[in-house]
Amino acid sequence: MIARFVLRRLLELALTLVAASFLVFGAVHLAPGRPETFLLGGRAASPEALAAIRAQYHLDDPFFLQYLKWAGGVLTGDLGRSMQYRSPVLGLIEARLPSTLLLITMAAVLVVVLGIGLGRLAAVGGPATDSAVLVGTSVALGTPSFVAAIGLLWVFSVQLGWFPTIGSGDGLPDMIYHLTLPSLALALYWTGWLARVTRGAMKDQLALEHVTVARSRGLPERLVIRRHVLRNALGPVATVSGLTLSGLVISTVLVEAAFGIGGLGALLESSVQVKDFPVVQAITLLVVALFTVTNLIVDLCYPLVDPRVRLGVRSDAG
Amino acid sequence: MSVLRVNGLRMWLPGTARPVLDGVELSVGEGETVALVGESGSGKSLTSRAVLGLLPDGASVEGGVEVAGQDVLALAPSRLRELRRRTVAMIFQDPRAGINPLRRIGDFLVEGRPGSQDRARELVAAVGLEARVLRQYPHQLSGGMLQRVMIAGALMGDPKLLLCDEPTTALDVTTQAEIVALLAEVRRRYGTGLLFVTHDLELAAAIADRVYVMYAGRIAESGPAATLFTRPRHPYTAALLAATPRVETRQARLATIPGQPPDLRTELTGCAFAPRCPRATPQCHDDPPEPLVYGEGIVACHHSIPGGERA
Ligand SMILES: Nc1ncnc2c1ncn2[C@@H]1O[C@H](COP(=O)(O)OP(=O)(O)OP(=O)(O)O)[C@@H](O)[C@H]1O
Ligand SMILES: [Mg+2]
Repeated sequence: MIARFVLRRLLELALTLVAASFLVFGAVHLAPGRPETFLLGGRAASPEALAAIRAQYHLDDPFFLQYLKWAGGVLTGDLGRSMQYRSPVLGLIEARLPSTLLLITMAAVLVVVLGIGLGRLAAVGGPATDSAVLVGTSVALGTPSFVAAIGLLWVFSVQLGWFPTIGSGDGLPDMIYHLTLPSLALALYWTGWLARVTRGAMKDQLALEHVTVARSRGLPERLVIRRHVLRNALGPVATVSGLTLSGLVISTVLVEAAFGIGGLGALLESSVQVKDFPVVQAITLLVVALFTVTNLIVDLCYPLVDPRVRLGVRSDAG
Repeated sequence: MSVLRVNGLRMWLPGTARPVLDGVELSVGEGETVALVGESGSGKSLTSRAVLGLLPDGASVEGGVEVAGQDVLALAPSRLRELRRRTVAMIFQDPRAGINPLRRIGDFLVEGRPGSQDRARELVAAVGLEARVLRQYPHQLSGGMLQRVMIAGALMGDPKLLLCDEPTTALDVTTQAEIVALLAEVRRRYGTGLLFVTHDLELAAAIADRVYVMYAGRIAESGPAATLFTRPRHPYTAALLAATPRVETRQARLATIPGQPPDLRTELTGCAFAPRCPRATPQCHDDPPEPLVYGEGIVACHHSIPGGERA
């Protein structure tokens, strides 16, 4: 049963990736601008030189053939060569992956811990706490991550000098130190969002009769909150947490730029500007793969959160 | 000795012009079955929940609620939890809404009572369920089975008093009869006092030793089930009886009495039932009637029906 479900979902995932890779490839190729102009760095070139470059990157092949060559390469671990750096894309990504992954992981932990914590506080902490959290989350939701980045930099790096202003550090402890402010900037918006969702879901549960019944049976209030209110609110919280991860990935581009972190986001940004299409394709495909895998994990977790949900059949019972 | 004694209970809710419960007097003896009847909105649920110390947000109360000699409304939180664990328990109207859908039945029963697995097994059998329900989730059980689970859950602490707030309204007719029979059996076997809230006068007559009739937050009439239903003294009781369809077509909801119960936003000067009462006089609109003792019953009416014929 579980095996069949996972198999079906893996097949769906593979199809999604194929479709996505085709769209990514097509979009990059349809975008205006010719890659060889950048390669030549504005120098005038002989038609022979241009033709040589176009041949090296298979630019004159029919579109579909180009796609097949690229997709075949991806399947064998060859993501092509960057035109900008003149080196394999895989190596470029591998070099930048650790700092970006660490940044996203730190931000995700902050979002989950602070988001659920603040949401819970708002739901059960009384009206004054509730209003305070609501105001705080409104500010968080209204602050774009690059504005948060600049604000954090100015206060904690420039004024107080507690944190470095630029770079991502070497070695795990140093990296964590360097990525503290960036992860806060990245986490701010999504923390506000998850706090709102957690608060709402918990308030919905608090109004339900099974909570009254639990209280009427003499259970201590903190047990009622943990086991019956928070636990039952986890459905929407899990769904939103999955979406949050996607959002974090997208926002890294801006945050990495603001903090001068040489991560995947920065690489993507510069590659888009110079139309370094092998790099753009590879990173975009990586992000799509991350989304679909996250989605699968959330779906697989659902039956653990709610026994009424059988795998593959999401019930709408609340 | 009474297991429950409610003395002059008054409750105010925010944004209302009069107390939603207005001097409720009620008692349940040890092992006695007492029914609390009245139209929707009369305050039956608020009364029974107040017995557990469960008050709506923003409610203020006055008067006393004594369970086994302890004043529920003045207890410290830890003592109140202890009382709910051991002395008084409640069965709610909708068993499907009352049990956490994400937890197994077994976890529901033993929750907050470590080491009580044996008792849970024993009670599951006593309410007529198989032991395997302990491992099942609520959505795998029918409404009637879930209400049996609720009853077993309520009996875990061997309470002296069981509050039943319309425990059969959400069930179909055959299941209703089974649950009522089970509650009667529980009372016989464990000597539990029962406060039975219901719309259903016939059911009240069948199961209860004594009956309280509630109207607009006040007790209109109380007395032994046998005499109260055959010879009602309060015009409201008589009207309720007249509006109740006879056995064959028994309905969960009461048929209508002309007019509406008074709104909570209006103040009451006299008897709450006066605007709908065929026997009302100007006095009824001006002075609230005092409860008067007639034999074994108590009636709050200026013009109670002499000898208690049907109106
Ligand atoms: N939490 C609350 N906040 C505000 N008003 C409430 C609340 N609970 C109950 N009321 C009001 O108090 C009155 C009495 O309610 P209660 O639930 O006790 O009636 P009831 O006799 O149990 O009715 P029913 O037969 O419909 O269950 C109603 O008018 C209801 O609208
Ligand atoms: Mg009610």
